[in-house]
Amino acid sequence: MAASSGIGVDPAEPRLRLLVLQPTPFCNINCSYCYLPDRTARARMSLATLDLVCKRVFESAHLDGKLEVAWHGGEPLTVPLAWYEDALALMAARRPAHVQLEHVFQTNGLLLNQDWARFFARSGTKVGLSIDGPADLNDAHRRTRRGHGTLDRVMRAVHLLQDQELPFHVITVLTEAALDHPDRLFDFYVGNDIKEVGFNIEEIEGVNTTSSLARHGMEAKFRQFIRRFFELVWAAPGQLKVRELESTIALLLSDEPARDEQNLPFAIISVGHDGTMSTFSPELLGMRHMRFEGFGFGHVATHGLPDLAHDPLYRTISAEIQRGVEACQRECRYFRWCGGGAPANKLFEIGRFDATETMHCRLTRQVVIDETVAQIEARM
Amino acid sequence: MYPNFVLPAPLQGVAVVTLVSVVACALACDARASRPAIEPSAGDQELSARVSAIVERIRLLEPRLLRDLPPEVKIVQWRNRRP
Repeated sequence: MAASSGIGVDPAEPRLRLLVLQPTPFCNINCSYCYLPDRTARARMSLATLDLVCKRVFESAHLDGKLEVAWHGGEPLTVPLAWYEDALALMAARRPAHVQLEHVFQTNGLLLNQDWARFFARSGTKVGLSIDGPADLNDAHRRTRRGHGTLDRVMRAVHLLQDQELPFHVITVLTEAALDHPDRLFDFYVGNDIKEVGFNIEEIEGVNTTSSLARHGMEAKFRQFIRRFFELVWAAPGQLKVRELESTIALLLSDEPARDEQNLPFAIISVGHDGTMSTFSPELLGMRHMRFEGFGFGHVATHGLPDLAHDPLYRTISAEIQRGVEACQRECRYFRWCGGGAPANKLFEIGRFDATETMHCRLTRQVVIDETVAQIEARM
Repeated sequence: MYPNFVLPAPLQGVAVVTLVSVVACALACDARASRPAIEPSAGDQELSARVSAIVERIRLLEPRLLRDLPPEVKIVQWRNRRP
């Protein structure tokens, strides 16, 4: 095993905040905008690998009192429930006494049944469901491999969680078609008693090399969508918690410049099913790019977290990401509330980590900041 | 999320307590107190100046809100984090 040291981990940086675990790259559906290259591969993380993950993460000097563990895939529920019973018990047994673990599953919900709901309830696990809105919007992109829509089945999961009074949130991917329907989307969430939602966008990333949102005129259309959706939320405060509004208001009110956890080394640790470790944007794990042979910086069997900073690939990528953040700081008036953007989006949109403005940041940072400021000003 | 923040009376009982609801409530109460409204700014005013004006108004109306912002909200989160 390589020697451990603190290289690359600035004590002034935020602590390790998020552990993303990929129990399998496999997904049981085939969304049109999916970025994962290996979503048909049925490999699974072993408990022995997870035990090594625990060793590496829990020995880290950069742990805080709370660590969010995001089970993310692939579709995490394609791994049997019994495995997670053992996995969460293992992590609970291995964690340092002062560290509280908060497990979150991000799932398409198709396999969620009473057994899973009971498991989530007794383990205190949080659930995120991926739903793109009413059937015509959801089923246009979120389909089975046979081409069938998935909304009916994920709504069964919604009702199951609600029946058991289990809190959950929804993540919606916005495509061009959705931008015409802010009112219908708002009514969909409120009408289905969905209390919390976050918006992702159809991104250019991994094997998804195009986006309907990259077309001419889409930024203006996206802005109109956000403006209208935010109006609806402001008009009915307390009905729907929207991640983008909440986080942006907090960043605007903060007395410190924003930092982005995706471009801070070791704020996020991602581990693949095979024990490969990475940091920065979690979606880099398992990706391929013409400039890089991969984005794994070490393996749980042979490397402690500080050792990743010695990896030549890490050094190259980390330096390039840092140059990108510094360029954003020099050039962009939104930097104070953005923190320099997501490395994965810079790489897959522009080809370099030291790039600055992307479609992703224009839509999810600049437009959202503009429209949040405008909503508040309109009420002052 | 804001464990030390005591909700204003109009918000006690809402379905989800959000920053939107707290800020909206504060601004609505302020408007009822007949404080002169601020003209919404167009893009020609510096964004930082517009944000500063917002922060100062909120600081005046709900100083606890700014004081009690937890450190984790000062970090831009990965897109698959929960709201």
